[in-house]
This record gives sequence, C-alpha cells and structure tokens, in this order.
Amino acid sequence: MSNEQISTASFTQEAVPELDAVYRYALRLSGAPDEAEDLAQETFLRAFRSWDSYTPGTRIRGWLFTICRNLFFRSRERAGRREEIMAEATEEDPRQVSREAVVFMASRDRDPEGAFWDQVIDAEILRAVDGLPPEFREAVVLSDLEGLPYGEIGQILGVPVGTVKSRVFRGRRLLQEQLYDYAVEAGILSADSTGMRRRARGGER
Amino acid sequence: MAPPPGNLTCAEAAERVFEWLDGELEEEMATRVGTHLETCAHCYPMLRFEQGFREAVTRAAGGIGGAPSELESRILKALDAEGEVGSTGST
Repeated sequence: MSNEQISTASFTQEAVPELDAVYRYALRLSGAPDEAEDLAQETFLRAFRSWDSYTPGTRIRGWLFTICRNLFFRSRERAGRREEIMAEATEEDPRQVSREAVVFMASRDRDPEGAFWDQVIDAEILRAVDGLPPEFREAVVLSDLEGLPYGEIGQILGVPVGTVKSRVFRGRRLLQEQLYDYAVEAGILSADSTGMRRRARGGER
Repeated sequence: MAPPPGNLTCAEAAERVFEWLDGELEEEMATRVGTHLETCAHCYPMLRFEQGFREAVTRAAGGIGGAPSELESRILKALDAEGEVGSTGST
C-alpha cells in the first residue's frame, strides 16, 4: 500500500466518523442546512490535505471543529460580512451579563426545583441558542450541544480556559433568561405575580 | 457549630455548580462541592434547577440529528478524487 493509500485509509477510519458532529457544528455556525453541508465537506477536504499535521491520538473532533470554524469565518469575510459579524459580536458586553442564577431566583417561589425545564420544547431551546450573541453562542454550542471540555473549547476558540468558563456560564444565564420568558409566555410557568422584574438582582445567596 | 457540608459555604459551592456539573473540578473539590450541593437544604433546589436546565439542553441537542445520508458519500467521493491527484503527483 502506498503512503497515500495509508493516509486515505486512516483518514477515513478516524476523521469521517466525526461527520455528524462536524455537520451539526457547521449547522449551528451557519444556520442553513445547505451552507452547513458545503462547510462540512470543505472541512473534510481541508482536513484531509493537512492530515499529516494531525497528531494521532489527540482529540480529532476539536481539530476538525477548528478547521470548520476558520473556514466559516473566512467565507463570511469574503462575503463582506466582517463588519456585520463584528457589530453583532460587540452588541452585548459580556461583562454586563450576570453570572448569577437570576432565573432560578425569579422562579423559585413558583417552581422551586425548575421542573418547568422538562416542558420546554427542543425547538425553542435551539432557537434560543441560535439567538445568543456570537461569543456566548459558540461557547454554549461547544460545551452544551457538543459536550466538549473547557480546555478543548479554549483551543478551538483560541482563548484561555478562564475566558471559556466565563462565556459558558454567562451564555447559559442568557439562555435561561430567554427560555424563562418563553416558559411564561407559553404558560409552562405562571407569570411572576410579585411583579418583580426578572433581571432584578436580589434574594439571599 | 458544625462545619457546612463539604466544608464549603453556600456561596462557594454555588459558584462552582456549572464546573461540577461539567466534570471540570479536581477530584477533591468535586467531592466537596457534590457533598455540599446534594446535602444542603438551601442549595439542593438550585442544583435541581441547574440539572433540569442542563438536561433540557442536552435533550434538545440530541434531537438535532446528523448529517444527511448523501453527504458522507459526497465527501468520500471528493476525498477519492483528492487521493488520486495526490498519488499522480508523487509517482
């Protein structure tokens, strides 16, 4: 067997089984199934071409995600959407998003252990994830949807683990606020009878 | 006065709830946080709340499904073409 054949075989064995995960990630990045398919395909072609630079035994999913993410941002830049992306990214200052369990505090009088989460439908959760500001969305997607450890997320995003934690935690809080609003509107959770604003800080810690 | 569960205050345990759920704490701290959250009457409802949230998100993620079936064959075909280009180039 030639070297090329060996590398094709090992790539097919190790990388291709990650297709579902890469596609899901591409879908969350792009938001469109067609674009996600192209992005996934391009990811595997790029990965194949640089298969030599992959260290066997390291986490292949993270490596593929990194390639996918770079391709995505490059294609957006080419499409002249850089300003748009940047504007979107700075829309919400991370420091202004609370790390505290605001929703828990606001709902515990009506639903002490968060039983309402069971009733929130999948589509609504995914919609809320997609609606997060990009920084938080990326962290939440990699952590909660793909189940990657903080260290690997840091490598993909090119940020320290402390930053990953901050984005994951705040992203989840934002997500909880979105879903809380939905739960009240959908009647899964009774409306806040005290009239206390949900963003209002308060309660003992 | 008896020390608090896990020898952590409620605030110390609560601020680590996500790291604990994510399995990102060192063993010793994970045990202490787990002991606190699961046995403290004040913190337990918060733990249930966060677990419920996490499970809901995981459930939603599980429903996304994978790549369309024809995508894999499309990619394999493209890889084959690449491979041929590669071997032609090296011989």
